[in-house]
Amino acid sequence: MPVSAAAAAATELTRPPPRSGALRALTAAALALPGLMAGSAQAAEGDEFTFEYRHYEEGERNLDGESYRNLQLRPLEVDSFAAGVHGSLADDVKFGLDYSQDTWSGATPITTAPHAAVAAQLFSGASVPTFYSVDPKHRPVVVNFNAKVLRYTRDSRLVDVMSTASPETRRQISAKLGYVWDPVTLNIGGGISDEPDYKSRFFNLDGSADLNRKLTTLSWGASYTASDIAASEDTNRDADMGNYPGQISLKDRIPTLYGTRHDIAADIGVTQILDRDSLLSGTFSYTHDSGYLSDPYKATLLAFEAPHQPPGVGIVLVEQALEQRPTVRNQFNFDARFIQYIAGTDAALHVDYKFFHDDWGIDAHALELNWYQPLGDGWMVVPGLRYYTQSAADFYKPFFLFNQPFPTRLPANPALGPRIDFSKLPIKYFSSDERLSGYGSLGGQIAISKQIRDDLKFEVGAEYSAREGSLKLGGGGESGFADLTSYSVYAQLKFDLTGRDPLSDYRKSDDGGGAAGSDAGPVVWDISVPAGVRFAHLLEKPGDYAISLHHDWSLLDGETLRGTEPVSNAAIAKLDCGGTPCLRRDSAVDNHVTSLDLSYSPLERVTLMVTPQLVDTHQDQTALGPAGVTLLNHPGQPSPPGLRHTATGLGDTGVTALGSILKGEGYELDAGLGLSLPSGSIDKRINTGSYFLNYGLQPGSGTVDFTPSVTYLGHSGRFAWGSQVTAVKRLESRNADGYALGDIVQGSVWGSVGILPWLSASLRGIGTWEGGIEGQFKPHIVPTRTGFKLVHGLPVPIYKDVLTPQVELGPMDQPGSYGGRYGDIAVGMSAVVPRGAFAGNRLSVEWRVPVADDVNGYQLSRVGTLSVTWDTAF
Amino acid sequence: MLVAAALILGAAGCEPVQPWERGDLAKPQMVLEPDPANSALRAHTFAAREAAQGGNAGVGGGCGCN
Repeated sequence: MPVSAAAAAATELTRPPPRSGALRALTAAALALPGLMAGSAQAAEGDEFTFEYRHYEEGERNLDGESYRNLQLRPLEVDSFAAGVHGSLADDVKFGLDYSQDTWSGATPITTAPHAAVAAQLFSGASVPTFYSVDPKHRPVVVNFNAKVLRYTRDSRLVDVMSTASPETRRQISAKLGYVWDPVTLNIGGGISDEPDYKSRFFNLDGSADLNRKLTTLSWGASYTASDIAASEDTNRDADMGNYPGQISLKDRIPTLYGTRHDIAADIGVTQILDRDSLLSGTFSYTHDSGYLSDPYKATLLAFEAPHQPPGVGIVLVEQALEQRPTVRNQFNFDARFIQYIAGTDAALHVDYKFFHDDWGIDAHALELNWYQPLGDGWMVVPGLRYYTQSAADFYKPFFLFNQPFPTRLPANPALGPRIDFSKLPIKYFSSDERLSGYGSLGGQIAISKQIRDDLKFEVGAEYSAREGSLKLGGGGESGFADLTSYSVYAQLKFDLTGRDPLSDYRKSDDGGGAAGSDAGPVVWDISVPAGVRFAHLLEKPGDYAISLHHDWSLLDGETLRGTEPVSNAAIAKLDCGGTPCLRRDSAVDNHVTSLDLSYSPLERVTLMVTPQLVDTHQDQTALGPAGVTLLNHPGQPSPPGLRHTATGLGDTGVTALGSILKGEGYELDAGLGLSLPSGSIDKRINTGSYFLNYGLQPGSGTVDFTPSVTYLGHSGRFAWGSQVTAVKRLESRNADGYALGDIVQGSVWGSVGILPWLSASLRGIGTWEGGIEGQFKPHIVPTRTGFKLVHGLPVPIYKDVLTPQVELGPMDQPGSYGGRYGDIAVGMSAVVPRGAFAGNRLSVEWRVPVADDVNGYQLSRVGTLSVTWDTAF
Repeated sequence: MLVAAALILGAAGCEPVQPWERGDLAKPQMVLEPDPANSALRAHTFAAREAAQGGNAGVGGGCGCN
């Protein structure tokens, strides 16, 4: 959203701004004035870069006696990362580019069931609930049919049926372009969101106009989103999918639901300055959704009690079906915000009330209060409270009971067994998704921010929320089984570019010992290192700092190598995997490492770097033999896990000191001493949580590592060259899981040539030696269900801790199949922004391909690595 | 719309706030949406957990099927 400066004073303070901190802060504040609406049009953006990491985690649900540990479940968690750049291309042209990703993992309910049906399942030993019993008054009871005397116990509880969907990463990229004809602004934007089962494309238009001497701002927006769904129903295999004829087909032998969806939204709003200390805004929005609007991973339990049962205990047959929501939804939203300045403490109170109504029968209210309290010296603390309440959808019930015989439909293929005839159901739509139930939630949040310098702000925040049926406004919320707590924490870095010198030349603290300065002649060549080279970035003088965002995307695909030669699947199937033949091999690996390099120079010729990382790895595996083979060597784990794995999380964090050893005209020699601290997880497990994902999927090393480097850089005119040796020495012989990754030594040599002063091309050769993994995953405790005991007539499962060795499915689970000797060639391009607010920002890309690989053990062939680096200095 | 109309009409009757009287309004804590990027990430979490979509549905995609 472009800036709408409501204060006339702001117009006097446009660029180039003075270097005075106070004046710059005032400029930024004035530029960030209201006039910007909630809704599709957002607010408060100067020229800035933003990075944010957020972690969300749910508390354990009440599973009625069955602990998460016993069920081998982990509560749901989400790791999100977002980066964005917003700025001006010219005084009247604004742009924004945003990237975000989030990875969801852990367990979530797929449906709700009467506890009596789960108890009957325990007694009968069935794989899914198929029935429960009722007493003569039609109340659910548990009957121990194995006992000599027929006894039953009333049991009206409801329980969540949990499942672990495969962790997946969603990535979203969006862009917008805005034009300002004072007092009117117009933005156009669009983007894509991509995850393996769900792809969206969206497009939006919005704008605003200042009226009434900028006391009033009108805003409007419209958007369109089209989504394609291709959801694997692997976790819902037992559910009846007959209600989606024509939308289910087999993909890799797994039933997959295909659907499309369209969303159109429009909003209109107004912001009004009420007096010199307060303002009010209101936004009304309408959204029309159509197509497949259900959640493909939610099932609903349908129960059938025949009307004429013999006296005594009766039987209710139950069957899960994929949930079915209407194919149209009309939503109305009203959002009112009021902000009051509190002169006594220089604070501001923000009150935000939202009302939501849709034609599914849901009414929701959200009230949020935030208190923005500046504490001086750049500190701000923002405590807040949020209350949310919603009524249930018309077609929501925890499960659906019909007084009719089971409506049997015989499938064309008799081997599939009878299923539900959906045309004989008295209702068309049904869902047991707790998110459509009636409930309330109450939460608190706090954010603390510090303006470290004029152009750098750091913020952390935390939020806790408790959802309960009893908190629903007016009562009548869903009962206790759906109660849930959650918390989230985040950290954010914001770089403000508003005050940067718009006419600066290429930045002078360059990688080639300082590019020729502006006094060196008419042509100033930008000197840079290839995107794949790290730790070659010494800062010019004490007090300088720099930020760089570095992304490596590595792909492995195709044949498996043994040493230097490809081997067949048949050969791998003959290998020994823990006493039995190997069952799997990697067929495709997609590895993303995003690193945020923060540099600061405390002393002449010394630069300190902190490099937190986010690691995101996807691994597809191929079954070498027939599918569904039992793991004979691990009786507690009856079937191999899914063929696709994802692991995402914070990686290890580097702390490095770089020093300049030699420096002369056109050359420099630098050395780095660093430590890699084990902040990355080595505890990522398969979805059901019992055994570890293989070594290659763990985001961290689990060991403290020594990371030295030596870099030589030279340049002359448009030519630059360099060489670097880096190493990773593990300082511990084993991590907490019982292994240590191999040591690494890498050398590279490169040359680059300037094509234009701001654009250069590079060629690089790289040689890498990496040792194999020492040790291996230790055996771990797996709680295993061994039976059940009766407590007050109700069956309670019994679990026993079983010490289980790590499963070996294929070479990727074997320590000897890591490391090797690798040769690569890389080509790259680098471009720097020559002037304007983004002067000195550099974007470099490099594509690296293998030319000679000699791997330890058996490893999937490498395809290549794409490195992208953006850097800037302050 | 009624609210919008009422706001404008109501405000028109107020004593206008002159540009030089807007110093407090220009403070960072008075910004209507101080942190759009953070709000968007937070809203995405709410949207995946609550039935009400918050009024910015449609901008941004994704399933939230969890």
